[in-house]
Amino acid sequence: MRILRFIISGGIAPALVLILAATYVFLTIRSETPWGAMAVLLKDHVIVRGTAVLLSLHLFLKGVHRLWRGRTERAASSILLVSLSLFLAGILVSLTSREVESKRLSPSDGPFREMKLLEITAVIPEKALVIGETTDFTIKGLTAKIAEAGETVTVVPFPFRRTSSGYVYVNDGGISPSLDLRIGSEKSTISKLDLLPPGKKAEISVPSRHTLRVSLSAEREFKKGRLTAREYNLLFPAYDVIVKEGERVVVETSIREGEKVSHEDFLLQCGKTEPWVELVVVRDHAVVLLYGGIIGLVVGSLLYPVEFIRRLRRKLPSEAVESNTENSGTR
Amino acid sequence: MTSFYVSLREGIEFSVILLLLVGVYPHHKKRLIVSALLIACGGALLTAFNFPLSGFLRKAFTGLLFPSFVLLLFLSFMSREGIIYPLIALVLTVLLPSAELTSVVLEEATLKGRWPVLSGLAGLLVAGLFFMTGLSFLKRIKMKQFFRTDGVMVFLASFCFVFGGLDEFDASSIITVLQQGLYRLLQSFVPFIEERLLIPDGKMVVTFVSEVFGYLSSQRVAMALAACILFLPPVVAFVRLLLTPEPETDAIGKRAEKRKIVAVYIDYLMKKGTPLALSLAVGIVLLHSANLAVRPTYDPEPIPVVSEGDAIAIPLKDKFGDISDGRIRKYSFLSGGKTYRFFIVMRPDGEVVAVLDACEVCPPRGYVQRGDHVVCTYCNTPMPIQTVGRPGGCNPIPVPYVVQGDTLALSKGALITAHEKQAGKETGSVLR
Repeated sequence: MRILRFIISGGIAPALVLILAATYVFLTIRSETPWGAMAVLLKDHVIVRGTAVLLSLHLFLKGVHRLWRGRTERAASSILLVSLSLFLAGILVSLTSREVESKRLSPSDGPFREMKLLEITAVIPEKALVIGETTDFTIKGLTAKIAEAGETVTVVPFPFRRTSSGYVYVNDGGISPSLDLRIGSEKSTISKLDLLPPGKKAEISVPSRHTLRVSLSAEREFKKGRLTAREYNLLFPAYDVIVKEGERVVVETSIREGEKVSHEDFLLQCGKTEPWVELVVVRDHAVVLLYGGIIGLVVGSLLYPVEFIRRLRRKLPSEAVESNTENSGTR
Repeated sequence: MTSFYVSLREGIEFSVILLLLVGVYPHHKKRLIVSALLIACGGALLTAFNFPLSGFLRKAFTGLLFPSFVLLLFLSFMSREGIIYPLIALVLTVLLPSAELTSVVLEEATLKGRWPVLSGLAGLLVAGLFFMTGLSFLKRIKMKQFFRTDGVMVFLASFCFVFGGLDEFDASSIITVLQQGLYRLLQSFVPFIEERLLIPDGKMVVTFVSEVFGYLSSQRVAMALAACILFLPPVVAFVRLLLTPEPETDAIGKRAEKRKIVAVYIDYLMKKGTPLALSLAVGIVLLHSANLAVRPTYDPEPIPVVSEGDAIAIPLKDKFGDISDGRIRKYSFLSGGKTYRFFIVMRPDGEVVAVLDACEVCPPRGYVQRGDHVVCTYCNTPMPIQTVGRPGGCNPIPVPYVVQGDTLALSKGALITAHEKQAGKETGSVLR
């Protein structure tokens, strides 16, 4: 009971906040990425982690205690306190317990964990326009259909889906050719290249002295004034391929599906262009806490100004009477 | 003389803050003065032992200043007398760089081999006299009638925002630095939370939620947060003051007595509201200047050009850069003892335009570039770069030109005519 009273006491929160704030300030001086360093401390450092746990506990107990005592007039601040504690607890739990696995997949790939990607659907525009270096090109309606434990599940970027493997979502997507590479007698296949937005170059080190650079090839180029715009065909794309031997460019060409590029013992054949998705599987017990905390924080912040004004109105008469009396006395 | 002025200025800044505290809390007078002297000497000694400033100490000063200012503002929520002790500690922390700066300037002046120590001491002596004179005035003014504890803190924080801290070190306002600090935090914290909430961060997948999170880590949100930190405490103190209930006068029979009580109440609101209103005004000015600092203006030096016959040829790509970078490039053409200024810019639609560095309406003070706008330096009107080349209003006056390959050519005669026309209009408007 004493420990509970100590944790719930009013003076402890500023002290704990001060310790955490001081740690962050110290990290801003010492580190270029202060929050990253803070997250590492929250995960590994006993004192920092202990302080955060104690703060989370204090906020939770304080909020619940208020509601328990029937102080409904302070419901907003109680919601804020409890939500903040849930959010903080969520971060702490997530930092230690999260397991993440991600993989770029296309329908022709084998299973990833217990999941088999069946189909990718996306609205990829036929043409993409890049003006200068900028484009507003994105893939819309990206959906992956996966089979897991005899069930077919549709996974989208957001909201994530809960499956038996964990939380699953699509993190990214794109289109890529399948490139069959032969160097001497060695054969390999390169696929799922990151070539979007158009203009992006994928650099691949192949097991020889060669380096390969692949990018989408512009179908048309426009000039207005000194500005250049490039139009890319995404339905039947062509690819710019540069093969370097050390620093020397040995091949520079544009190829389409079915075409080949060769140089001495080096042979590259362009296969079918197919879409890919980056599927992320996360196991984390804190996701519910984090979402609960965030929703509570939003609700509490919306309600809090009303509670604050009400409390102020109730508190002020006594203070004002004192001040007015004091003021009259000085006249 | 530099050391005299610096020590005088820092001494007066120190004295004003101390006088305010002593005036509002006279029973803490001795403690305040002794601790202020200790901190001044401590700051000077610290600098003397660590001159030139080591990287860590300098960073620590700047690092400590944010939380000090912010804490100072937020302590104003707890308007209790007991807060005086943390308040003293905080104010003195904020003042520490003043003592340090004085010491640094004195040291630098010493290296130049003048008489800096004596003139520096003279400056401090004058500041000391200012403080003693102020102390004797304080007895008559009764500072307590102007300040409640929250008012003191809000006012002191505003004073420190204007005169103290980082401004003196690197000419960037504390709000700009605060905004940058918050931006740095948001830049790493928001993606961290985004990842924890399982929101995709892939470049090709854009969802509504990822757009919201992208916005949350922007410069704009950092500035909004800095504004909240700056304005919330004075606004709350103001609301508190305005919600002070009117005195009950129903039971009082005499009208004169009623009027007297109401007058006391209004007087109370006016006196205690004035420092808060001042602090708010200071905050608005600071925020505006910080906002401008976050989006700095670009005002290149005009490059002198000459004509060949009637033609002035401007290369669009040369050692001064490429016009496709979207930045304005200014030129000056000298003819008959007069300078004609103009600039060229590439609009977002890819067209290069040439215009005078003046408009039809204002005196020809020229333009600066701020992001996607050019701003008239006389009337501060921003014009989108897309509209540059169109005549009228405060738009820069267009000049006839042709683009041939990588060169923009304009006529010397047309430039002078456009300029003379502008000068004539301006004289006309002044005469009217």
